[in-house]
Amino acid sequence: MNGMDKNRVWDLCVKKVNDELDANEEKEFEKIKGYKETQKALRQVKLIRIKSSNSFLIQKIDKEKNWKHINRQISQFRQVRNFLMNFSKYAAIFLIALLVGVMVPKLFTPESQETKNRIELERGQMGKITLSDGTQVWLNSGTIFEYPTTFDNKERSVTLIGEAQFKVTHNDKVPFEVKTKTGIIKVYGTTFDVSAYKDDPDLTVTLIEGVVTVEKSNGNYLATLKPSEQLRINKHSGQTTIQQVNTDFYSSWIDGKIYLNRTKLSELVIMLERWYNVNIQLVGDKVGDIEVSGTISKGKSLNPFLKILERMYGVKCELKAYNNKKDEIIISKN
Amino acid sequence: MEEWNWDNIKSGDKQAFRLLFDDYYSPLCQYANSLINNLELSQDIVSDCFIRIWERKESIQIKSSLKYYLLVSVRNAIYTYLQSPESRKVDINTVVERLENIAVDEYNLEKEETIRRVYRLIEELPNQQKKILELAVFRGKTYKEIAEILEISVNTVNTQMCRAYRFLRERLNRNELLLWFFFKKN
Repeated sequence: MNGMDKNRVWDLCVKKVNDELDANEEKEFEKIKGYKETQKALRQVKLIRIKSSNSFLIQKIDKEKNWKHINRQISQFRQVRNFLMNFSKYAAIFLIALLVGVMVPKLFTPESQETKNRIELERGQMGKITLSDGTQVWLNSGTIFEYPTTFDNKERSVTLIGEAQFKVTHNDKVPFEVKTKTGIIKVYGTTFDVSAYKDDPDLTVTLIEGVVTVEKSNGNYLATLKPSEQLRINKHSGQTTIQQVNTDFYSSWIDGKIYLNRTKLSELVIMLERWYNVNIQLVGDKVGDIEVSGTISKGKSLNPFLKILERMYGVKCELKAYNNKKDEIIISKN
Repeated sequence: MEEWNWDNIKSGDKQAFRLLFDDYYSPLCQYANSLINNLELSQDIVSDCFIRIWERKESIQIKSSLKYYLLVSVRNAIYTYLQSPESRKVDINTVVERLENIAVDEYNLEKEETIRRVYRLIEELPNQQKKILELAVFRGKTYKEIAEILEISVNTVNTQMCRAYRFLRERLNRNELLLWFFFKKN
């Protein structure tokens, strides 16, 4: 390793691990690759890379939120309930009467006292929760969702601003209700998607399987949907339309994917803005009318998609990163 | 490894369980994420593991080590997840390949505190270096992409990366954080 600066070896290794060596440097690296010192540096660089990547990653984990969830699941209430289930009904009644005095102070700790929970997702965030009746709810970016910690036997009612997909646990006796500003969706057990964003002019309900009934906010019957049907209600005019849709497009976001089938760029950018937490501007008359087909994965960064857009549709995408506000993407005709 | 803690957990000590959670929840999420590449889902899976461990704590026998037990629990939960209809969310072939490539007993599960120490060192870096490092190692951006995003030259990205790595090597070494070399494959 004579004549080679230690720092130079290190820098080459950094570049190597980041896959950034140019042709000349690649040759230079080949020459020193066999040395013990190079191997050691290489190992250290890799280790630093993985360790820093891991440390960036765990910053993204909301531990408290997850602990709350775990704690709720393992709370004494559940254990007491499970325990009681094993006894006959009468023994249970007797035991409850006996335990109430002892347990009440413990059960109603501040944590379990809140009956209504509220989740607010920022743009760029997605989430999934399981409600007390087993109903699964996927929440899309920028959604506000309210639900009770436990449902009683009279109603299962939640409130939504934004978009969510529901897989409702079947219960003949107690319908499941989703309240939005524009209407109420009632079901007994089914899978459907509701989009009720504040800045969208329409409330849309897309049925994936089962049956749903939609009522106006005042409780008047509006429509019953069959699978693959989509109901749109205009918030302002109240006008309603039902159309057949490809449910893949509406259910795809829960898999972290958007399936596009000749989707207009102007519609697509609204989704992209929510997903990637960016502002997108379309510059030029016809840019919004460009029809795009394909699949976008949310796990991937936006950049490759923008590059494909540039190549296939002859537009120019410009990314502006800001420190104090959302990144901005300007898409214009070339 | 505080194996003593396990006895407390077994006897129903939630405080002890919280300590276990504090030490290993995030690292296990990171482990799951390295397999399924979906952090949201990783958190759900690891949370479920913790819930199940608590529910079955009395009957759990820790044979080798608690760390090993936790890793195996998470790995099994991922296998179970792959069999569920929901598994559309991940690329099953890649996950299975990774599961088979990384043996649990060779995986170095660190405590959260150890991982956080690295982050604290990163925070000492000048802002730009930190940003560049994050874009490169965490977001997987190329130097050219970073240069475009931050409106600086590729050369600057390179210089700053080398500096950041040198700083981290020196500080990690001083804190004895570069001692383990657990790379099996390149």
